[in-house]
Amino acid sequence: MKRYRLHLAIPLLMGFLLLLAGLPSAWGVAYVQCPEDTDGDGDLSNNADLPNVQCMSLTGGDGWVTMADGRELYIFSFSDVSAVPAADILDVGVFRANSPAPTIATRQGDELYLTLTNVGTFNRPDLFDPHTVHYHGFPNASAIFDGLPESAVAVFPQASLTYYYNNIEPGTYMYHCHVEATEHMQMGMLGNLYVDPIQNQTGYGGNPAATVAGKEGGPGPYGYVYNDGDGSTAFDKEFPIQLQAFDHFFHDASRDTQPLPFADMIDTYPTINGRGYPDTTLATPDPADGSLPGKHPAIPADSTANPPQPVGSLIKINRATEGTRILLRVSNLGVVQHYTLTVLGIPMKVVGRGARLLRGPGQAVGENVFYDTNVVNLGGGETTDVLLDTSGVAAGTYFLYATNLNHLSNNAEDYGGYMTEIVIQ
Amino acid sequence: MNCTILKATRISLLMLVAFGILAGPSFAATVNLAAVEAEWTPPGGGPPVPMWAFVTDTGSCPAAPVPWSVGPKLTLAPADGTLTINLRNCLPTGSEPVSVVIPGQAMPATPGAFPVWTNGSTGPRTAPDQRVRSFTAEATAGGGTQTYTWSNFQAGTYLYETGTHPQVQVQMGLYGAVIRDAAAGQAYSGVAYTQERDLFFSEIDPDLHTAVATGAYGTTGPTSTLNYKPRYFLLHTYDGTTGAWSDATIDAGTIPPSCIGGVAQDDRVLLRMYNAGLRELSPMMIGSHYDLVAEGGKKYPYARTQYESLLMPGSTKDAIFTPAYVGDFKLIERRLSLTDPGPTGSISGGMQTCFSVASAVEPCECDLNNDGSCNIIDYQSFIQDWGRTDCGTPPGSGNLPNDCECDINQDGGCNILDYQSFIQDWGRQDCPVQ
Amino acid sequence: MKKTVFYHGKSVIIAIALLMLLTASAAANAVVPGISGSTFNLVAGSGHFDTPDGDSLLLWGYGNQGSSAQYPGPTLIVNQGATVRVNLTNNLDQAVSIVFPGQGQVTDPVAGGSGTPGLLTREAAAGGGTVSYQFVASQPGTYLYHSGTNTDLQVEMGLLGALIVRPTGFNQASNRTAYGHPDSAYDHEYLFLLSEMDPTIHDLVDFGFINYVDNAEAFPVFWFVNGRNGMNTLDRNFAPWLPYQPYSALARTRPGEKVLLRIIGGGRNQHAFHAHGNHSTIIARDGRMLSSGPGAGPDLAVQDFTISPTPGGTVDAVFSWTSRGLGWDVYGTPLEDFPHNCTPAGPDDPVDPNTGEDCTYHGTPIPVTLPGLQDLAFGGWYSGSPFLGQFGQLPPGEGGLNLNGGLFFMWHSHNEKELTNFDIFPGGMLTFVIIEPPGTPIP
Repeated sequence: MKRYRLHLAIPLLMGFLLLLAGLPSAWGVAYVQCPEDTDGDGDLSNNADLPNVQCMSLTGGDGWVTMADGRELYIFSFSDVSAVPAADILDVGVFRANSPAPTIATRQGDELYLTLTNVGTFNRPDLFDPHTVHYHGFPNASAIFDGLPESAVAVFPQASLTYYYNNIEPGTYMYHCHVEATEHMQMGMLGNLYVDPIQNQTGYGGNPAATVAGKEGGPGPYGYVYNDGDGSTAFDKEFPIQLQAFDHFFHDASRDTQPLPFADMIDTYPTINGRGYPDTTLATPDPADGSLPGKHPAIPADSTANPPQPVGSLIKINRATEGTRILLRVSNLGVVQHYTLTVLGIPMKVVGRGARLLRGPGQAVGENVFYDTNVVNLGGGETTDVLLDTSGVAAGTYFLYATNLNHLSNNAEDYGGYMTEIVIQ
Repeated sequence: MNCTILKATRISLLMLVAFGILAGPSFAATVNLAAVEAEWTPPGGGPPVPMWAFVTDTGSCPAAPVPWSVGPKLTLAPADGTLTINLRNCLPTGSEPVSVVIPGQAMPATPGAFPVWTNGSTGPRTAPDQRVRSFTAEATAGGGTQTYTWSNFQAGTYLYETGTHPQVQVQMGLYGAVIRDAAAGQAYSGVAYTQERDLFFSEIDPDLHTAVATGAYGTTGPTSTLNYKPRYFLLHTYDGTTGAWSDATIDAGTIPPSCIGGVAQDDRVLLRMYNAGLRELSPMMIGSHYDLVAEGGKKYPYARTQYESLLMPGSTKDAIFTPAYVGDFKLIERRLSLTDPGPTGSISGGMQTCFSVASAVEPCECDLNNDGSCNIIDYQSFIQDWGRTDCGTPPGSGNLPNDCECDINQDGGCNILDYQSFIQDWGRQDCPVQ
Repeated sequence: MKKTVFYHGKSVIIAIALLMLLTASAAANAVVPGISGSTFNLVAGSGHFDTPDGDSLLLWGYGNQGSSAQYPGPTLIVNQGATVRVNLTNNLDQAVSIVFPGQGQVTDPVAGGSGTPGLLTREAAAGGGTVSYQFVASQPGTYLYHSGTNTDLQVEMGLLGALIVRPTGFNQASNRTAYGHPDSAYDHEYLFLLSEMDPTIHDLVDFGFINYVDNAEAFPVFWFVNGRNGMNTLDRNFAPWLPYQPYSALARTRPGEKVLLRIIGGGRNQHAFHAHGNHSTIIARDGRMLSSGPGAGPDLAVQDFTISPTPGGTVDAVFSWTSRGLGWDVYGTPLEDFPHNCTPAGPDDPVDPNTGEDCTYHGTPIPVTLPGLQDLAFGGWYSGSPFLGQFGQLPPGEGGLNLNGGLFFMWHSHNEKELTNFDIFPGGMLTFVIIEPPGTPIP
C-alpha cells in the first residue's frame, strides 16, 4: 500500500523539478566536448565524421526497470544522449537510466571522447552523489580519467566531465561508475564495452585485403576478436553477455530513503544484460518503439527513444546467411560473487580473457593457449571471449545459463534468472 | 616383477566385465537407467533425507524408495562412438518428468521433441513468456520412457544429469558419471595413466529436499531455489571391482583415517573430478602437486601443474597425480566444505579424503627380517617352525607365545603354500623395508 | 565551464627528481616483510584485533616465538633447496597444526616423534603441546600455510600465513627473480593475501559457544588484504596501532619498474582482485611457472586485469606502469611550465625507460577541458593535478593525502560488496598502488 502512494508522489515531484529545470539560470548546463562537434551544440548526431574519433554523450542519474516477475526496481545508471543537444540534456536525462548502461562499441586506434553529465537523482532529491565512468581494463595511465573518485575527480549533479581514451588494445571490457562503488554498482551503473581490433580494418596474412572484416566492409569474416594474425579469433556474429544481479531489498531501501543494507547484500534478481529469464530472450526493442511489451512504467514523452532495458540477450544465428561462428563477449559486473556459465550442447572455445588474446609471450602467430570447455567462471570485473562453433551442431534451441542452478530464479519465481537461449537455424 | 601394471589392467578389465557394457568388440554402448525415489542416511544417523536417483533399470519401478547413490558410472570403451540411454521415469504419477543430458557433449538425438516448455509444449519459442522446463525430450512420471542417443560421443570425463527443471532436480540427486578413454590406458590423446580414481563432489540441502518430497515446494513452501543452502557436503569415489560408489569422506572422528588405496609410488593416477553441486569448489592436495590435463572433458593445450584447481559446478576436471613418495596424501575442499550438521553446530566431515600410496616395489614376503633382501638368514627363520599347525595369527603379533614366521599366508600352519610364497622373491636384494 | 588552474610552482620537483635520478645510487626496492631462515619457531595463540567499524574480534593466529599471535601469521622466507623446519607450540585450548600445500613430503624431524596424530597431519595438543614439521623447499615461488586441524574453523579464526621460497641464485641487490628465470624478474615485490571473516563465528568461539558454530552458515562481512581491512591496508608495516596486523598492503612503484604481485587465496571464497592502471602478466600459479616445458620460463604467461586466485591457491603476476598510448603528455604541458625531456628506449619503443613517458605524445596537452573546481568532487589521494609529479589547486580541505604528486590506482576486490567493513563503505578488500615520480625513494 505504502509503495503505491509513493508512486503517485513521483510524477508530482518530477513535474515540480522539471519546472525548476526549465529555468536556465537555476541549474548548471551540460557541456559536451567532441572534436567533431564543430557547431558546438553538443548534439553528436549532426556532425561530420572525423577518422579515428568517436564521441559519446551519457547521462548519469536514476530511473526504473522491471524484473521478469513484474517487480519494479529503482536504479541508478547511465543513458545515451549523444543525439540530444547539450542545452536539453539536463531535462531529457531525468529518469532515463538504462540497465545495462548503453553498450560502448569502439575500435582500436580510435580516440573516444566520452562526456558524462550528472543529471541528479530525482527520486532522491536529498542525494548529491557525484558520478564517474571507470573504463574497466583500460590502461588509464593517469588517475584523472580512471573514474576512481578517491584518487582523482568525480562530477557533481548538473555538471559534465569529458573523459578521453586513446584505444590502443582490442578486446572485451566493461564500464561502470566507481563512486561509492558498492552502492552505485549495486544500483545498476554498469555497461558493456568492447574494442574491435585493428585487424578488422587491415586484414592479415599474405593477402590482407581478402581478410578485411565484414564489419569494416571487407570480404572476410564479420569480425575478429583480437589481432591474432592468423584468423583464429574470427567470428560471424557477436553478442555481449553481461551478468549483473540486483538485490531488491537494497533498491527498495534506496528508493525509500532508508539505510542501505551493505552487509546483507545478496543477489535476488540475477540478470543477463539487465533482464531475468525469460525476458532475456525478448529481442532488443526497436528504439523508435521504445518499450518492452507491457513491462515498464511510463517515461517522459521526450524520452521515447530510450527503453529502460534495451539490450536483449537472445543469441540467434542463421547459418545459411550469417555464418557459423558466434562470439560471446562475456563479462560479470555483479557485486556479490563469482558465477559459472555454461552452453549446453555447443562446444565452447575460450580465446581471450581480460581483453587479451590467450597467447603466451613465447608463442608465435599460429600458436595459442585457447582451450575448449563447457563452463566459464567469472567474478566481478572479469571478462572472457568465448567462440561457439555451430558448424557441427543440429539446428534447434539451445541454452546458455549459470550452473549455479539456484540462480535460475527471479527472486521467489522459479524458471528465471541467469538464462538465455541460442537459436541455431 | 612389475605387479603394479598387472594390477591396474586387472582392475580395468574387471570394471568392464562388471558393467556388462562391453560384450566383445562393439562400437556402441546401450544403458538402461531409471529415475527413482531414494533415501539417503546422513552421517552420524538421523532421519533419512528424501532424494531422487538414477539407478540401473531392472525393467520395473521399485515399490519403495531405494538407498540413494550417485548414478551408475558408465564406462565406454575407446571404440564406442555411440551411447544410447534408455530412461524410465519411476517418480510417482503426477510428479515431475525427467530427462538426461551430458554437459560437454552434444545434445542427444531423441524420438521426442525438445525443448519442452513449462506448459508442456515443445519446439521453438513462440511466445515471449514461455519458460523452458526440459532442455531435451522428457520421460513422463509414473513409468514413462525416453531414449537418448549420442552418436559422436567425445572421449573424456563427464557427468550426466537431469535436463529437466534443473534448479530442483539436479540437487535432488539425479546425476552420475560417464567416461570414455581416447585409447587403451589413455584418457585423452597422449595422456596415459596407470590408475584411475574418481572424486565425485555433490551437496544436499535437506530442507529443500523435504519441501520437494512433501509437495510444499512451489505451493506452501519455497517457490524458487534461490535460497538453496547446502548443509551436507558429499565426496564419493568409485570402486572398480565392486562397480559401486563409496563414501570417500574422512573425518576427525576416525584417526588415522581410512584412505583410498591401491595406488603406488610413481603410478600415474588419473583423478577424474566431478562437481554435481551448485557451488564452485577447490579440491586441494596436501603433499603433492598434480598436472591438470582437461576441463569439461576437453584436453588442455598444455598441462597445468597446480596443487588445487577451480572445479566448477556442472563440469569436470582431470588431473594426473604421480605420487613421489610412499605415504598418505590428503585432499581437502578448500572452500572449506569440510563439515556436516551436528547436534548443535557443525561436525567434521564433508569433502575431504586421502590416498594411501604404497611402495612401487612389491614387498618381498621372504624378507622375514626386514633387512632388504631375501637370503639364507631369512631361510633359517622360515624353517624354524616348519610343519606347525598351531601358529597364532598374525605371525609376529606377539599376542600368542607360539606364532610362526613361516606362516606367510596367516592360515595358522606352515606348509607348502607358504613355501611357494617364500621362494617367489628368493634372492632379491631390493625389498622395500617396511 | 571554468578552466582548472594547475599550480605551476611544483615543476621544480620534476627537475630535482630528474637530477636525483642522474646522481643517486641504486634506488631501494620493496621487499615482502617476514622472517627469513630455515628453522622457525611459531606459537599458535589468540588475541583481539580491532575492526574499522569499532568492534573487536577474537583472533587465533600463528606468531613468531616471543611475539604475539598475528594475522596473517608470519611470512616465512626460505631459500630453494633448504631443509625447512617449523616448530609449533600451541597456546590455544584445542589442538592445532600446520599443513604446507605445495611443499611435497612433510616429515617429522624429531627422533621419537613429535605431536599427536590428527586427521590431516600431526598436531600440537592444546595447552602448550608441541609438534615439528620438516620439508625441503625444492621449488621457488609463493605458497601459503594454514592449520590442518578443524580446518574450516581454524582458517576462519585466522590460522594462516604465507611462505615464500627464493630461487637459487637470488640476490636482493642484483638478481631479483621469482623463479630464477629472467622473465620472472622484478623490482618490487608485494604480498596480497586475501581473506574474509564472519564475526558471528568469532563471537561464538569468544563467548564459549564453540559447539554452536555452523560452518554451512558462514557469511563473511569483513574482508582483508594481508590481514587488514581497508583503509588500514594503507598503513605502514608494523604500525603500533595495529598490534595484531603487522603487514601493510600498500604498493608503490616508479615508472617502468616491475612489481611482483604475490597473490594468495587465503580464505574460503574466490575474490576478483582487480588492479587499476594496467594489465598484469600472470607468470605462475601454485609456485609453478606457466611454462611449456623445463627451461622455457613463463612462456605461456597470460595477461589480465582481474585475477581470481582459487581458495588455497596462489598467483604470481607482474605489473608495470608507463603512459604508453595515453595520447597526451603525462608529465604536463606546456613544456615551458613543466620542463622535462623524453628519450625513447629505442627505434621501436617510444617509451622512455626512466620516466615511463610515451615520447610519441611529448608536449601534447590533454585533449579535453577539465571542469571547474565547483563542478567536481575530489578524492583525498588526488594531488590536484592530472600530471605525474605535479600538484594542483584544490578547494580547502580537499586532497591532502598525496605526498609526492604520485598517481594512485586502487587495487581491490571487484565483488564490490567486499569493499565494506560490516555495512560501512569504504573498507574491506582494497588497497592502492602509488605510481611515484621517478627518483622517489621506495620503500
